[in-house]
Amino acid sequence: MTRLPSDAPASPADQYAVLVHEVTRLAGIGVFAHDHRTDEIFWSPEVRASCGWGPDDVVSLATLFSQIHEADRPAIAAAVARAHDPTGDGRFDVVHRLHRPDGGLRWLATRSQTFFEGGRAVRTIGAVTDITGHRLVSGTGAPTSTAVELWAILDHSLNEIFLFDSTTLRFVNVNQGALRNLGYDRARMLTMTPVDLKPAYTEPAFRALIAPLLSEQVATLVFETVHERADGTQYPVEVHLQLVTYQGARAFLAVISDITERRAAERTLRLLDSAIATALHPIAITRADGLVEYCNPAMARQWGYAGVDEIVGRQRRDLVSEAEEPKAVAALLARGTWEGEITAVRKDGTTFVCQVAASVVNDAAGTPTHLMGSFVDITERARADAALRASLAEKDALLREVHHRVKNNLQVVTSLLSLQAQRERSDQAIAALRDTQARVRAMALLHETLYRSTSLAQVALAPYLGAICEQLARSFGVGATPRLTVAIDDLVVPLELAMPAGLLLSELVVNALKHAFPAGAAGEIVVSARRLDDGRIEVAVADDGVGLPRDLDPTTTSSLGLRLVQRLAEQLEGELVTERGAPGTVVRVRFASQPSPGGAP
Amino acid sequence: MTRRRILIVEDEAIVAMDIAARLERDGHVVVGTAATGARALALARAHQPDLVLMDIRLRGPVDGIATATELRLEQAVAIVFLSAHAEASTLAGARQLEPFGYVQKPFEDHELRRAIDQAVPPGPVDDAR
Repeated sequence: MTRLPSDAPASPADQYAVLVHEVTRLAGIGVFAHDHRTDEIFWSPEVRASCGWGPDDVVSLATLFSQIHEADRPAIAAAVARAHDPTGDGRFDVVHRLHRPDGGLRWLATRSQTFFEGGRAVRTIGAVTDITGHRLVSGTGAPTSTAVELWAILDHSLNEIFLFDSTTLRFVNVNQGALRNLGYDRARMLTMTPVDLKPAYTEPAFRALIAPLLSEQVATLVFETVHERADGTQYPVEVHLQLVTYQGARAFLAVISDITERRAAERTLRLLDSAIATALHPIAITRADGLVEYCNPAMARQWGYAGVDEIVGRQRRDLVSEAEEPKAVAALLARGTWEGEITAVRKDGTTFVCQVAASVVNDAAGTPTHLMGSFVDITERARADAALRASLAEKDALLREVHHRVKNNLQVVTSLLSLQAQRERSDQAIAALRDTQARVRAMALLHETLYRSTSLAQVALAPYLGAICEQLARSFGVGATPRLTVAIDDLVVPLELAMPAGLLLSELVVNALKHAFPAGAAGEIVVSARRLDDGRIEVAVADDGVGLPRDLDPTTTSSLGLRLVQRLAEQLEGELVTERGAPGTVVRVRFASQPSPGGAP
Repeated sequence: MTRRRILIVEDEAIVAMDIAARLERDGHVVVGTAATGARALALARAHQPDLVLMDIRLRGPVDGIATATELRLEQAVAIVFLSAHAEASTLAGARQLEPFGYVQKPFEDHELRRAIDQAVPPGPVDDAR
């Protein structure tokens, strides 16, 4: 106890200081003083008692802050910042909760004033009042202004808030949120107990649940259960219970949160989690700074780790190529999402190539907090692609080889015909053998054209028909006259049309070379192929020679060449037109560039 | 008509036979026909021909150009290549063996005659060989 120093002379200021000290002690007001320059803090015994500190405990501001109720910390932090702002008035006035080291919860009203020198906070002095017992109702039963304000806040809270008697369990006060959520009126509610709302509990079970609070073994109790509304519907809730003093008696304060949405979110989260956990594709979540916070079992398997625990806690650069990681992360952060290939590094150091789809997770302020990535090992895909390409190339090569062999065989046939012709004496027989040789050569050229072309199913007419004309020109020794002009458009036809078209053209050109220019007469043979407006292809051989004999009917002639032309045009399902010119002859065959499904009749 | 001693290198026997018949009809002497590069080298060493008609594509590991290259290291024999198609890449290989002739298959008699005359110009031929 501090005595007034009556036996020693004292200055009025000293006497006043002692008086103030005594008054604050009597009023239960704690005081503190903080020297910002030395960071020394004086806490009066009343503050130490309220906060549960011993007389000799060294308590820093950080210690105090760590004891402040989590929900009140942001407001306290903001108020401290405001009070320490040299441009402000230096005042601090906050009601907040504080956890005592022994587990008890106190409500404190703290007021302080910070003083500044040279634009810097140098000293703060303040008073702390423990208002725990006054919080709802004053000890005399008259609500303090703080208690009235607090209840007004609680009454409008969306949470259900109840006060119930610690002995009878009957509700002594409930807020609007509770009435609204449960569908009872106030009068009815004040006849009920928490057990009436909690179908999961019998009264003995509930009493057993709250026993540790009554015996002050614990300061608060948090549990989840179900509440039942007046209409019988139920919903999941989280209950926070603590013992308070209410109207001089002990009562329980219950704060209830409807956790329907949280439960639904938790269920969704569990579903998502199990989906990710069972996904075949590796999925990982890392912090922005590179620490792996999550990965699914597929990732552990793919990367050769025993389990996800072996990966979580590692760095991102442990899992992918250290050289590639910064560039990929930079691209991801720049765009928010990124897809690309990256070299993954297994636990044993071996690597494989992955396709990655990644995205950035931002906090409310838009700052990246996490990076998420899902991976597909494309080593197999690349290998399969290569195998498929190789297989196709092999088939392609085999098919080309077949065409090459067919061409060689046909060349052997022409040699046989040539050998036969050398033994013949009759000019007619020799001519027949030579004509047949030309026909076989036209067929051989088709196979040669095919094995040299990019497509093995489609034949480009320009090189094929061009090669037939060139070969015939060489065979007949065509020089300056007659001139052979070839004008073939860029056309492509299927294999089954190319052969008859080539043979037909060969017959027509041979016919013109043999008969249109007797005795070395001058002239020109023009070979053309083009697409008509109706989509068909027209192959034409025109000459300005002597023309067909007047008595020759191309449709009934016995000439093998012209009969072949007739039949090949039929095979093409084409239209054969012979025009007698002045001078010369034009023969045209027009056919569809795709064979009809049924083939030629 | 200058008679020349000619070696035919062609892996299709009937095609080789046809070429031989046509050459003989023109009065040339066919010293042999070979289907492979190795056989061609052996026959060339044995008969010392004036000219080799060499198919570029041959069965076996050695093609006509490689055979001709090796042959040229041994003797200054004229070579006329036979090929189905004037391929730029194959002809580039053949060009290193200048002088050389080239005939596109299938060829006419007059084309073969011209190529032979260009490769071994008409003149006195050592009949004693």
